Amino acid sequence: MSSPSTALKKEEYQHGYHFPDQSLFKTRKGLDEDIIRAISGQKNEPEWMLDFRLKSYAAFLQKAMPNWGADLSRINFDEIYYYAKPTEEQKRSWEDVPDDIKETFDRIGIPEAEKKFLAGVGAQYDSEVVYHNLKKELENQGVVFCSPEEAVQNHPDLVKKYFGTVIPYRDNKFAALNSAVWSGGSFVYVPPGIHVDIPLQAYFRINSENFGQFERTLIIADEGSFVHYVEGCTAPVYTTDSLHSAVVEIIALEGARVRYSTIQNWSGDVYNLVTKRAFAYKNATVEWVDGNLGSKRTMKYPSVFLKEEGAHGEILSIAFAGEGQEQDTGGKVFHIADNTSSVITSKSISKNGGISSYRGMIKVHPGKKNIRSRVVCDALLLDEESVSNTYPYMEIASEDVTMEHEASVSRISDDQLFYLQSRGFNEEEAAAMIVNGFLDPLVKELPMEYAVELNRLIELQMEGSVG
Amino acid sequence: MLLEIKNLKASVEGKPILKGLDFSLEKGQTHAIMGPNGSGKSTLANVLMGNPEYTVTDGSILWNGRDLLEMEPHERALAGLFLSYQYPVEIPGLTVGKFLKRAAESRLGGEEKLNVSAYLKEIRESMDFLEMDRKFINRYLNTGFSGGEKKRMEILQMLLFKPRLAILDETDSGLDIDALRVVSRGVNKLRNPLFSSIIITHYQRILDYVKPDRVHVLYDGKIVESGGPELVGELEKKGYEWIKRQNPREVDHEQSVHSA
Amino acid sequence: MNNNYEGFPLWYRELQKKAAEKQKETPWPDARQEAWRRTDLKRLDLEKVYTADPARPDFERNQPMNTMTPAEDDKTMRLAFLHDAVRGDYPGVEELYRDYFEAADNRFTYRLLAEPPRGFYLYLPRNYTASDLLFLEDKLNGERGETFTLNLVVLEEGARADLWERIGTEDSQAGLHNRATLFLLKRDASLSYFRTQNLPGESGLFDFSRALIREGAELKSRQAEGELRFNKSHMTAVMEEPQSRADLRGIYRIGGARFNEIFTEQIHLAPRCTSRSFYRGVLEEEARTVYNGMIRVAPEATGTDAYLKNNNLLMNDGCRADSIPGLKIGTNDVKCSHGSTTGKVDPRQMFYLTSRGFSTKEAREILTRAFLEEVWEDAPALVADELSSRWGWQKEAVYV
Repeated sequence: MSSPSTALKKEEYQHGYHFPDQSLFKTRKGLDEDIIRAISGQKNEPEWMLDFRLKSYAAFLQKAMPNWGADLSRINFDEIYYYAKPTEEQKRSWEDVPDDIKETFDRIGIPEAEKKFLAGVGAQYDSEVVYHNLKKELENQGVVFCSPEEAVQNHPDLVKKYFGTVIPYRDNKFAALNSAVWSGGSFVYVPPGIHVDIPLQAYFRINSENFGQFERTLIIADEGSFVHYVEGCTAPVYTTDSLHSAVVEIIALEGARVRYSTIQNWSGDVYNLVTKRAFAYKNATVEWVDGNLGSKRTMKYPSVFLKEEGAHGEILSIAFAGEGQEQDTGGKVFHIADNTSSVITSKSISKNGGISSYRGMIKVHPGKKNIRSRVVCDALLLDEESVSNTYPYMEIASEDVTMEHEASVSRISDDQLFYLQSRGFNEEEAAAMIVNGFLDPLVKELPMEYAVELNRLIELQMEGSVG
Repeated sequence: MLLEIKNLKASVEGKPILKGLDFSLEKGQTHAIMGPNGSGKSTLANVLMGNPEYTVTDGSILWNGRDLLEMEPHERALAGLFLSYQYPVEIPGLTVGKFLKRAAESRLGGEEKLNVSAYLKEIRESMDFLEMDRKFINRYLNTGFSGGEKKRMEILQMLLFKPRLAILDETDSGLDIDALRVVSRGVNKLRNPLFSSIIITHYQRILDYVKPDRVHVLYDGKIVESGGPELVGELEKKGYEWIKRQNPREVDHEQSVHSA
Repeated sequence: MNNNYEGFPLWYRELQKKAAEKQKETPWPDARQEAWRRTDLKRLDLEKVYTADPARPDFERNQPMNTMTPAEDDKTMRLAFLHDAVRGDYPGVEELYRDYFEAADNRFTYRLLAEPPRGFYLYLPRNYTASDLLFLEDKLNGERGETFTLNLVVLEEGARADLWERIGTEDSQAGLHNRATLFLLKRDASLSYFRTQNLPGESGLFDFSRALIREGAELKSRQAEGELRFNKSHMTAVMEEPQSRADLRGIYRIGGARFNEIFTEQIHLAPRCTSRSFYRGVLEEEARTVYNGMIRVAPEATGTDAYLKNNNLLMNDGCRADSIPGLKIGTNDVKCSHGSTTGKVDPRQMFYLTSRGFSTKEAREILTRAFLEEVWEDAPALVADELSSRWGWQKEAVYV
């Protein structure tokens, strides 16, 4: 199979700007213990983190590739660069950021976002966080928002206590890989009772050819706190396959609420294999809003472990699979305690032969009382060649459960299309309106500027898809 | 005394609804309980029937001198208590015929054998009397029934089970005038010195067809007015605002909770 | 060994040989295969049954019921032993065998094909309508307690029948039983199929049934699973030609520490076909059930209308229900959906019934029965009575 990144696609791809590779430090291709030591050394890490990386690497070698989900047979781990450091040090203000990097950001709208409302931006260009700004008042409240590297240096106690506890390094092959070579990402700590009113956000980009991105995010919401973290990903177009394999861990302590929103728009050559998991303690709420538009193959199932009474988990998943794309996404909820509830809502769209799959799991542990769970999956197929799969797993080992699951697959109805056309819209506009309407319940959950960006991306995806 | 309620307090999901209600009913009487939305009318009906969603926090209910609150819902039913629900639940898979037959059998207590053909005849006659399509006997209980059909099904059960006390919880709501006439005909058919009823309603309409012996006004979890049938006319003229003005709520903010 | 199949058609001898080889070289299914991930094979003593070679054919003991070869212009229904049907190459036999071999994906099915043909062959000629309910009973008695049985049901164009298949009797041996019923429904044929199970509770059962449905034909299948130590029951309906229909329903009521697994597959290969799956189960004590349902729609199958529903009622803690309703949709001109619920008895329904005079125990039983009977509402009285007596329910007349 040839790469889906044809010349035509390059032209179409809105975020396909590529500046000469400026990385200052870059490991050679492939992975071994020396490279892991080099990464750790570059970051001046303490011994315990290096040990963690090395045992993760051993687990990575041991673990088998997943035998289900998207086709990953084309990933060649020896052809990937595992680390590159683009600029010498963390920049605190926008002015210090190198111009070409700034221009790239500019084109995907970061400064716009900052002008509007930003609390803090940790934007990732290749592996290191190059731009970082956190409003003074948040700092004064004790909120920590920094790169995980900084956290290792400045908040070792928090890192030691929580890092790798939600997603153990041996959880799966890609989590093990990330644990071995992680670089960049975010570290967030919100002290008890603090409500961070404005979304914290970070953009991630892959900019070096054949370069794996292994960012690591750890969010700790202390008792009764609230935080909304927003992650957006867009990657420039390359002709060979890149690997993005992040790990995101969330800990919501008693009464805390964490919302994590992602709009993923990697270009069509990226393997996007991400492990996201949250622990929700007593009366805590964790919400994942996960939109997947780009990439070649995505496998991502944000999950919530409802570990104590009254915990609530919510997963909203949007997937758009176009030509050559396979979106294998969904969510998992584990009801481990009494009086816990969960909702999974999934909306997927496939067109031009794209494959979107919902894969989900609801598990109720034996004898747990008063469990409520609802899963709704809707898929829209825009043409005859496209594919939609649904694989929901429900494992219920308790009687006091209300579990509901519904799924449907449909196409744009001729009636709807005709109605809108009779009101003066052309077929393409009408179809785009219907698709936007299909996604609207989820888009509404996003911060405004993200909703706008998502709608724009969908309109772009929809161009030329009808007739 | 058939039914004697003293200082009844009850709550739903921790929220107090009945706040010290007193009420009594003699054998053979028909009483109407009226009141605005949220005053506790349905709660009273459900507490009398023993719905586990409602918690009695204080007070007593005597049924022929027996402690009603000690009795399971089915014991209350077999003792002659009947509730016609405002929103009867649907039970797909259970046909009306099977349900009525088994219900009749449990009323015989297993000692006597049900005369199925005689009972079937009685079901058919009662259905005709209530102007119901006989085909309903093979349909699933309340499943896919219209509002009016559900209410008739409740009255049909009342006619067949011949309770000693029937509580009609908003049986008139959502009924057109023909249905109301038929339902009232069913209630009036049972009226005799051994049959009592409590008609719970928001409106006066049904009381034009079923004349009550006494009328009570329930407001904010308590009976605030009692009188003869003339009270209906008075309420009609003055409306519930009159009651509300005379009986300001104990705690102001509760009003918003109830109406929410 | 092939000598023993003397007189059998060449295609069968080749297929039997290939199946025997496949049976040897195919490993046990394991948790890496999705269809087996939740199957508790540890409950079974597989080595005992399957490492032995397939039995040698010995047909002398079986007296043929009907030596007449069915012909295309037959006017009457035929019932024959399977080995006669194979040896005589009766209509549909080769087609069903070949399709089943092609679709086979596990050692159990290969073994079933490698064993000497044992079972029934039922043939309904063109436009024949069976006016009475047809009844087939598999006694499932094998020498070692293990059995391998294939039943073939062939309906020629326009044929119609109601068929009740009862698997096992009270005096069947409690072994490990392997079986399948294969259906061939030719153009505009219509079959209502009822299957009940009467095996002793200590039995294990593998059932991999499969139906080929041609243009305009319809299969209605109603299965009531038995309460077995181990039960894995598959039903695949292949809509091969346009406007064919399948309506698959099943119920299970499992207690004890039993394992029950249902797998349904609605495969749409042609345009404008309709399929339904509707399975409900009640679980008690420490029972465990898995429902795995799949709707597959090929790119050619435009105008597909498919639905799948699974409801589980859990009566107490300690039981476990897995529900995995899947969709694989390869074209957009479809109406496909599924729904699944798992929960306890609805407390509002419970209160309604108790307030009408039923004890809690009675009310639970009434609701359990209602829950299951909704799936089997169109069963003939004979079949419904058998189910009622199994669960100690009163017979219920239909009132008019």
